[in-house]
Amino acid sequence: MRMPHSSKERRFTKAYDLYADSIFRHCYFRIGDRERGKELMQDAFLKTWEYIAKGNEVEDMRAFLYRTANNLIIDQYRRKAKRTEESFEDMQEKGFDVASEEDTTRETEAGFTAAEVTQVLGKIEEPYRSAVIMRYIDELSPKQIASALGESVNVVSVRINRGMKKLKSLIPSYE
Amino acid sequence: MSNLEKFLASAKSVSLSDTERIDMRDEIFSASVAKSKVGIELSRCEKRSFKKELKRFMKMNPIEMIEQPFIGLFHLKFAATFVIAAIVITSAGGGVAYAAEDTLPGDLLYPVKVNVTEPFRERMHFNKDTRARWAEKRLKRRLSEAEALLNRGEVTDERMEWIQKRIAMHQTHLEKRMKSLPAGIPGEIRNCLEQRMQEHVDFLEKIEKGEIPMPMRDKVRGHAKKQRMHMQMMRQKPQMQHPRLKGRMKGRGMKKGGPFKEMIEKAHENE
Repeated sequence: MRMPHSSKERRFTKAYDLYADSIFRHCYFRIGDRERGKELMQDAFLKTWEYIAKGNEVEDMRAFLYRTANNLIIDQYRRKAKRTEESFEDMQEKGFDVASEEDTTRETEAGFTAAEVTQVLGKIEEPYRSAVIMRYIDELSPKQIASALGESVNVVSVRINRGMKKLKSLIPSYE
Repeated sequence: MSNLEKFLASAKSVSLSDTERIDMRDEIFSASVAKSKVGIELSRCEKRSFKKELKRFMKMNPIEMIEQPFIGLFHLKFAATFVIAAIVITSAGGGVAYAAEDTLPGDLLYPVKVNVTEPFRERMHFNKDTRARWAEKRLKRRLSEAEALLNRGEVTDERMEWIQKRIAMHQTHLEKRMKSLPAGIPGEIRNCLEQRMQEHVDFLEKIEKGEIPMPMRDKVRGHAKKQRMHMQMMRQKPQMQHPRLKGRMKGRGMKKGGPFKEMIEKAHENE
């Protein structure tokens, strides 16, 4: 059954309140750039709304937003590969000081700064990085991740395990 | 807590600031409306009232005025802005402007209401008096929105904070509009506004004290105090920014918006 226009709007605005932060965080950690993370989050919501406005139904809004954000991030990677923009890894290799950016230096409640978090995550290769971010930071279930990435649950579980192994090996250096 | 747990907890606590979240929300929803097939149009009643105002403006400013080069240029610029705004608002089709009228902070069309239709409606008031009264009405709208949010149980700290900031902004704007009014009218507008603000403060205080049972009680804490402060500023305003002082303030590092805006901002910071 099709939902009336106003209830679609309400659902979408509610989704913004619920997921804006987590989608932003996801984009930020995947790309390693706070401002670009904000832009990608905005684009993900705009694209989702365009899809809804055309009369399409979205069953799992959260998974849909992640799927859209993921597609935008992949587009960004492809564009970077083709053109002049540097990838997150390139920037780190060249000694890009993420920690010097104003908003990222503030220490979080648990002790790591946002810059440290992005640096560590940046050392995990894709597709394992996105699997770890989605499972342990965004707290999506393997099924939701599989739906967002268009992969099977088995493939996702393998990526999560490998990604976590890598993360555990990187963390002791911060002790 | 292990280092890994600390790391993940740190990662989860990274978020947008309140201002970023609100600003981006406005951008997303304004852009969503602009991109959607549904456009913006005026209600029949609005069209009638704008036409009436336009006729009155045309009578007050006959064609002869264009003969004076400077005034002519000014009116030409004004007319161009007016025509563009009117085309944008009326030509897209649909009924967004009308639909946006009853929206509250957090609704999809709310940014259209505050950023598009309200400024446009203000421009439609060509008379200084009606323009100031519209500025007063705009401020009262924010008070009603805060109350409606509380009644609907849709209050969040961000929304209340946003409304408080808008109230301060509208108040500064209203004072600017009232400067050029003949003596007596600003007092009348202030009295009317003060009465409405008092009602709003009473409502907030009753919620704070638990006299009106509401699940969102903790969200209004402190807002009645801020509102009382806005009222106090309004009473002090005539002494604070006398027209004679206006020239002397220039070049002394005063922020745009005058000392009134500065005081409100400082008071908000102290909160």
